[in-house]
Amino acid sequence: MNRTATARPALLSTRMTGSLVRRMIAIAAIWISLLLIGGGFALDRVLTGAITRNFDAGLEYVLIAMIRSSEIGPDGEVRLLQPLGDQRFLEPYSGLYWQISGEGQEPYPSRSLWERRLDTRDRHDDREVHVYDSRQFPDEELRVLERDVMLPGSKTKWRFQIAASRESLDEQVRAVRATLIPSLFLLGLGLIVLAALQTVYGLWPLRHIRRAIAAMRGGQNNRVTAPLPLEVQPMVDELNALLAHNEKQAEEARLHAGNLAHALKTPLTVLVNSATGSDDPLAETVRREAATMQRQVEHHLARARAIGRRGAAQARANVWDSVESVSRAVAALYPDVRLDATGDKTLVARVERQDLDELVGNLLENAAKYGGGSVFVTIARDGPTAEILIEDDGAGISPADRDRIFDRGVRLDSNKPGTGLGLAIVRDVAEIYGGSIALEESDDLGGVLVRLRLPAG
Amino acid sequence: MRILIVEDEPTLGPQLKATLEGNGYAVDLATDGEDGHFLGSTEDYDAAILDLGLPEIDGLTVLDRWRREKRNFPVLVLTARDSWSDKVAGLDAGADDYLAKPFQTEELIARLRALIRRASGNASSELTAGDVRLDTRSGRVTLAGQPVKLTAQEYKLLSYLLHHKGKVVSRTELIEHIYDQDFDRDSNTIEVFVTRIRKKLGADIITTIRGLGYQLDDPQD
Repeated sequence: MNRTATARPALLSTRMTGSLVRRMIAIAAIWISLLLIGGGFALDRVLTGAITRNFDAGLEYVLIAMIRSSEIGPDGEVRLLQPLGDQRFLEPYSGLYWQISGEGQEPYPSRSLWERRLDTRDRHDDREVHVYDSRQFPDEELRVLERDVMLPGSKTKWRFQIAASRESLDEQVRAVRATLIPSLFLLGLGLIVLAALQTVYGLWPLRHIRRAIAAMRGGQNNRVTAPLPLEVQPMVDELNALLAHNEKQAEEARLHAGNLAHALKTPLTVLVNSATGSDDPLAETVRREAATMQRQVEHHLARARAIGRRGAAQARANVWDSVESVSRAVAALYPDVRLDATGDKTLVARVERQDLDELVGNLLENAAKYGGGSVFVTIARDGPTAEILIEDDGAGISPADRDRIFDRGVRLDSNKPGTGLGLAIVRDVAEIYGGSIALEESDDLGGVLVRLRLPAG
Repeated sequence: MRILIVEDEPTLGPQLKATLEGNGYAVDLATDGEDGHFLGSTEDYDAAILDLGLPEIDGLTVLDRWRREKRNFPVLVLTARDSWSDKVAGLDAGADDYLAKPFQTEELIARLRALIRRASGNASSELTAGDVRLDTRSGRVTLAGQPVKLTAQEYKLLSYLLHHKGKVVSRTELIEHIYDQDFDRDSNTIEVFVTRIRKKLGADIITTIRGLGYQLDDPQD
């Protein structure tokens, strides 16, 4: 079978409905991405929240320690009974600071603040700890904890502040995100791949159907018989029913056309014979028109058969059986002709038996009618092709006439009876089945060698 | 000569009967399968013309019954069904010739004459020489069981030599038996045929006897 015939049909329908697999993978990808992005945000909030709370708790501990160890000095100023333990409070710009400030007083800063002072503009009317981020230093983002406290022996409201650079906090958040985002991305990718596998595996039975239908067109089967999943089986059953229906209709149409054509043949015989042997112009007209009618009948019969053939992709016939029985018939019709055959007796051609008989019969009859009395048939397989060689010992056909002889109505020898349709029909039928026919010269017998090639089964 | 026609078509049957009678045959006409079968089994005919599409019993069944009753007169089948599968079925059922409608009466008469002539019969016999076998009825020639391709002239020459196995046959004698009367009798063509037969069947199958002619014999070892 040639390549173009088996190519996938109609890109158009693919464009309009898209691939089922692609569509299902796309949907899976969209919901997987949405879920993972949402989940990622939630997880990020939980983790950064925990890290930040942990960070703030450390600072709050220092703030409380600072408040506990502070007291009012003799001049009404605040002082610390003991220095806070962390070395970073002493190193300038270390990133960890404290400051105590009261209204009307110079703020009392840690040494690490150096010449800078923490902002105290926020007003609170409570004694709670307030936490916020501050950008008051352009090169350093701060996390600030502050609390207003009344100290014994002072009427001033003191604000205790602890500030720490957010750098280490941000570092931790970044580290968490650096793990979280790629993990979620990989997870998403993995899920999409799994969804794709699931889709492909889930839709695998569709491939069985495609293969089964391809096998049908290739002629190995005439129905889809592969066991298929519950969801697909009803569709396949419908397909099989449709095939059966089509075959039945084609067969009926073929039968009707054939019956009609055959029914006309007997009256035609009567007409022709009644008009024979008379010089009457009417008889002449009848003879001429009857000949035209006969050609029409032959033509439409051939067409009716051709229509039936299109649905017969699964046809198979043993070549030897056909050659053998047709030879027997030809030998009976041409008793003076010697017919012989040799070759592969198991060779099968992808042709309906009736059509193979027709091909072989027409060619053998030609060889018997126009040859010199000997006809030899050789059957051989040539790769994917079944080859039938029919040789005779006649005068042969000149290369110039070899193409012309396939035309309808052309007869090289008009002394012998015939319609001139034989070879034209043979070529049409052979081509319908993807075969070919060629005329050559026989080396062994000296006459015509007809090379009929058909797809082997 | 007595002929039976079995044809149901009301015009064609009598038409055929009249034409055949005009040609000197005695003709009986049956118009259905039942009647046709009865006539064929009870009367003696030299040949029958049998239409396949018949009422009551179809033509193939009639033919099959005649053959089982050992009624062996030659039968020419008439039918509108002219596909090779139909012809094979008809001839396998025991028909001797097959004529597709529409046909001309001259052709029918010519075929009928040939049929009657042929029916005088020829028995099958097999001629052999060494590995070479020739079946005179089917005309098949085999060498060690394998079919051999021979032209009609080569076959006639081989057949004549086999019929006269062991004898020396002159060229003139061969020419007489192989060619029609009006053929240009160039004896060199005989030499050409002999060479071709030797090529196809083996060089030692035909011995040239100088000045006398040719001899074909079983190989001597």
